[in-house]
Amino acid sequence: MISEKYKDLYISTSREQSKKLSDLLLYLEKKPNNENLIENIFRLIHSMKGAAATMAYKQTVNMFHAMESVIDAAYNHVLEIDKKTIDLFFLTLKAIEENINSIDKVNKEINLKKQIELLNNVLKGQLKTNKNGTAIKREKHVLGNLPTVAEISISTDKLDKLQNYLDDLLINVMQARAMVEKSNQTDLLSNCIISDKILGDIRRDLERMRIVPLKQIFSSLPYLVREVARQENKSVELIIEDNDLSLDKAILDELVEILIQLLKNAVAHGITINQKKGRINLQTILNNDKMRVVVEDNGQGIDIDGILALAVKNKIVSASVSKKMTISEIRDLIFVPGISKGQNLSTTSGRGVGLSLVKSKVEELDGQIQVISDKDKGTKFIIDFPLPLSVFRALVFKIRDYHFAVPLSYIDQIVKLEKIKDFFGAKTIRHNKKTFNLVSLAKILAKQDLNELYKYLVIINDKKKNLALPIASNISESELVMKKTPSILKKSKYFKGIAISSKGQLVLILDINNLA
Amino acid sequence: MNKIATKYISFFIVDTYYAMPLSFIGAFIKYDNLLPVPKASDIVKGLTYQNGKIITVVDSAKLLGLLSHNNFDICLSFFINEETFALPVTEGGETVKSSQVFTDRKKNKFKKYIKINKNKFYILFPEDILKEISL
Repeated sequence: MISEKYKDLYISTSREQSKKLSDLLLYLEKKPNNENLIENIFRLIHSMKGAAATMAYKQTVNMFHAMESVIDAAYNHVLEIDKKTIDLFFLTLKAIEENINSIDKVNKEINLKKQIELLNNVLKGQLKTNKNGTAIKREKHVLGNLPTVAEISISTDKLDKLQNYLDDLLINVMQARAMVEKSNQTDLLSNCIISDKILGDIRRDLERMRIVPLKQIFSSLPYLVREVARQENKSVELIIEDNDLSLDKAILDELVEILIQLLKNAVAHGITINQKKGRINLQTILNNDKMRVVVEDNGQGIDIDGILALAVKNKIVSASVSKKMTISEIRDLIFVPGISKGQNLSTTSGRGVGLSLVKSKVEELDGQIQVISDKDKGTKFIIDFPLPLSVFRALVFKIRDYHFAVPLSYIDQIVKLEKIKDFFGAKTIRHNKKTFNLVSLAKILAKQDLNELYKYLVIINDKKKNLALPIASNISESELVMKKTPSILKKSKYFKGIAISSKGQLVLILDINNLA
Repeated sequence: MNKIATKYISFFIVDTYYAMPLSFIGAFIKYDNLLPVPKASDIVKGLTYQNGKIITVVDSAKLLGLLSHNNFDICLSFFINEETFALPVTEGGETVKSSQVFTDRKKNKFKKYIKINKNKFYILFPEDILKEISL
C-alpha cells in the first residue's frame, strides 16, 4: 500500500512544511495584507494537500482544502484577514502538527471535523456578496512555479552507517600510508596522500550533511513563544541572534529541548502581565571550541529572598544553612528539583522540575549553565558547551593494556623531565618557576596499574587551572577518528569519548578537567 | 490457539546450550585488540572495533557465573538500544524455532528456556544482559 511505503518521507516532509507554514503565519500576523505572503501560504497549503491526497489521508485533505479556500478568499479580497482569522490559522497549525504526530505514532489521522467546520464558518461569515445578492465566485489562480532546489530528506541513521564505512576506509588508508612511509616507496606515497585527502574531504562533506543551521531549527521558537504568551495573556517578543552558526543535528535537537524550557520559563515567570513590551533575546556565539547560548528576558528577575524562602519551605535547605548562602548559591537553587513546586501551577509550568531538567540536559552535553538575575532587572541564562571532536590529532599513551589520549588542542607543551620522577602522592610540581596542579589517573586506575616513575609532563592549555599530566612512557602523536561513545563509557565523567587511531587501535579520550 | 513460533540463534557456552531471539542478532565474529575500560562493570571484558562500529564485549563466564574461564574464539554480536554488543561463545549454532518458553525455577537469572530435541536452550535476552552490566 502506497501509504505504508512512503509514510516516513511524508512525515519528514510534512514536519518541514509545517515549520515553514509557522514562519509564514508569523509574518502574516505582522503583515496581514501582504499579497506575496498570502500567495506563498496558498502554495504551501496546496502542496501539503497534494501530499496528503497521495497518502489517502482524507480528513487531512479536507482540512487543507478548507484552509486553502480561506486563503484563496483572502487573496481575492473577499475575505479580510483579521486577528480572529490569524488565531484560527495558528489553531489549524497546531492541529496539523498533532495530526502528523498521530500518523507517525499510530498510523491514524486525528479527528479534524471541528477544525474543518471552523475554517468553513470563517468563509461563510465573511464572504461578501456582489450587487445581485449572490456570492462572488472565487477565481482560480494560475500562480506559476516557484523556483525549487532539489532536496531529499535522509535519516541520520543512514548517514551514521555511511560514516562508519568511511571511517573504516579512512583508517585503512592511514594504515597503508604508514606502511608506505616506512618502506620509502615514494611513488606509492603520493597516491596514499591523494587518497587520504579525498577521503578527508568526503568525511568533512558527510559531517556537513549532519550540520544544520541554527536558523532552521530556531525558526519554530517565535511561534512557541507566541503560543505560550497567548495562554498566559502576556505580550512577548522573541529576538533571535544566531550569528549564522550551525551545529550537528543530534546536538541541536538536545539544545532546542533546553531552549524550549527556558523560553517557557521566561514567559511564565519572567515577563509579567503588566509589561507592555515583554522581550526575550536568544543569542548564540562561538568561542574557540565552545558554543555559548544566552537567553535573556526583560522581566521581573529572580527574587533572591523569595527563592530562599521557597527553598526553606520546600525543605531543600534548612533555615540555618540558608543564612550562610552566597547570592550566587541562592540563585543556583532555581536548578534544584522541586524548588518552585506548587507555585502558580499552569499548563506551562509550576511543577518545579523544569530548570533542574535543563541543568541535567546541559550537563549531558558536557556543558555548564549559569544564571544572572536581580529583582526587576530581568534574567539571563548562559549556557556553554563544547563542540564535538571529529578527526583530530592527539597525544596517545599507554598504561598496561589501557590506551589513553589527550587532544593536541588541549596541550600547551610536552616537557621531558630532566630526571625521572616519582609523583606518587604529589599534588603539585614546580616547572620553569611555575607551580602546576598534577592531574592524576588514580581516579580511574587501580594503584597497581599506575606507574610511579614518570619521564614526561604534559602541560595543559588552561591558564586558570595550571594543570599538568605526568606520563611515563609509550607516548606518541596520532591522528584519531572520533566514534560514537558507547553507553559503558557514558557512565564515567573522566572520558570525553572514544576514538580510533591510524593503527586501528581504540583509544579512550581523557577529560582532563574532570580528572583534575 | 496456535502460538506464534519465535526464531532464535543457538550457541554453546562451555557446557550449556543457549539461545538469543533472532531479531537482535548480528553475526558470529572474531575479535582482537580489546580495549579494557577502567572502572567498568567486571562483566564487561572491553571494547573492540569492527566495520566502523564500537562493540562492547561481555565476559560470558562472569555473566553466566561459570567456574571455568575458557578463552572463547568467537563472539555473537547483537544489537540493542542502537548499540552493538558481543557475547563470547564456545561454539556457534543454528537458527531454531520454538513457540513454547519454559522457566527453570532453580536458576537465579536467565531462567527462561526453550526445548529443542530434548535439550534445554537457555534464552539470553539482551535487555537482561544489559541489566547485569548495569546499563
